[in-house]
Amino acid sequence: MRQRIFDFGATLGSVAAGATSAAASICCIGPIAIAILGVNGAILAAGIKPYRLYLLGGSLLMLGYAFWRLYRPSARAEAKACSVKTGLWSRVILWAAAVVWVFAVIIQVAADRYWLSGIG
Amino acid sequence: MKAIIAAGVGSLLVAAAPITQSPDSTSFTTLDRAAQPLRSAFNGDAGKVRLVMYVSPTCGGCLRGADQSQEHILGKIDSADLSVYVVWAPRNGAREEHVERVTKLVTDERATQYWDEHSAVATPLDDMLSLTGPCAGIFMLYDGAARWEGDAPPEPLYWEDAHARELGREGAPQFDAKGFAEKVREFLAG
Repeated sequence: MRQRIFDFGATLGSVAAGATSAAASICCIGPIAIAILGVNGAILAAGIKPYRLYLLGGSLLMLGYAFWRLYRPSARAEAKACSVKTGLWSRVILWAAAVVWVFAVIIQVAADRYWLSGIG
Repeated sequence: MKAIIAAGVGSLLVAAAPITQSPDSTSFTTLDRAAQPLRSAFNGDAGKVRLVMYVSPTCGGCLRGADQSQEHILGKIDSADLSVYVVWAPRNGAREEHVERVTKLVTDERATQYWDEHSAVATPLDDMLSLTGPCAGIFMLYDGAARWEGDAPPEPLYWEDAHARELGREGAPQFDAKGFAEKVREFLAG
């Protein structure tokens, strides 16, 4: 039970860190940032912005750990031994977290390119 | 007769009452193409240390700089010899409608806020300070002797850049509100 909580925490942490990193990337891109984050949100995101790559990296590590926990060979053997289909929701949530991470990367690249192009 | 006297006394009381702004209501003035009335205000405050913030209302970094200035500079230094001008610039996609809600970040009564509709301040500062990139976020200090004579604002004696690191601008140090406050104290002491 404790291990499942730990695994779920890693997935959740990955999503949170990835989403925070993405939000930090859009803090300064213009009116749309203020519309999405609000004034206080944009200020907070600007404070986090210098650390967004660390957040993204940490998110990837947690995601990698969660994938390894779910798909490691011994885990698959345990699942086959059980007549009840287990881990379906774990896989769904984990893959959704992976999509969030990829989306966060895309947002960061796009935000930087959009912002640095100097739209005044 | 009593009603007339009561109305008269009431009118006098209303007329004599100070016009106060609630802490939550702030406002700004739109600059013309000659940067007025900022230029007159700047020269009118000759003899004082003047802090000019050149910021965008749609940039998180600029907003954070303004917010931290209120907290660490204006909130900690109560000298009447300091005047503050917040110039909200049409940079980073900003328009006038974006300004009102961000004026609430700087509430010190020594600060006056402006919208630089015609970039009368922004463009000369971009050229003077060789600014690149989409955003402003410049915090500038002037001593009591500074005067705004020409079309462009005078060159600041000291300035810091809220986007120095992320935009790779090397003209000034990265803005740090606490460090900047020390600079303000130096100017006030000098």
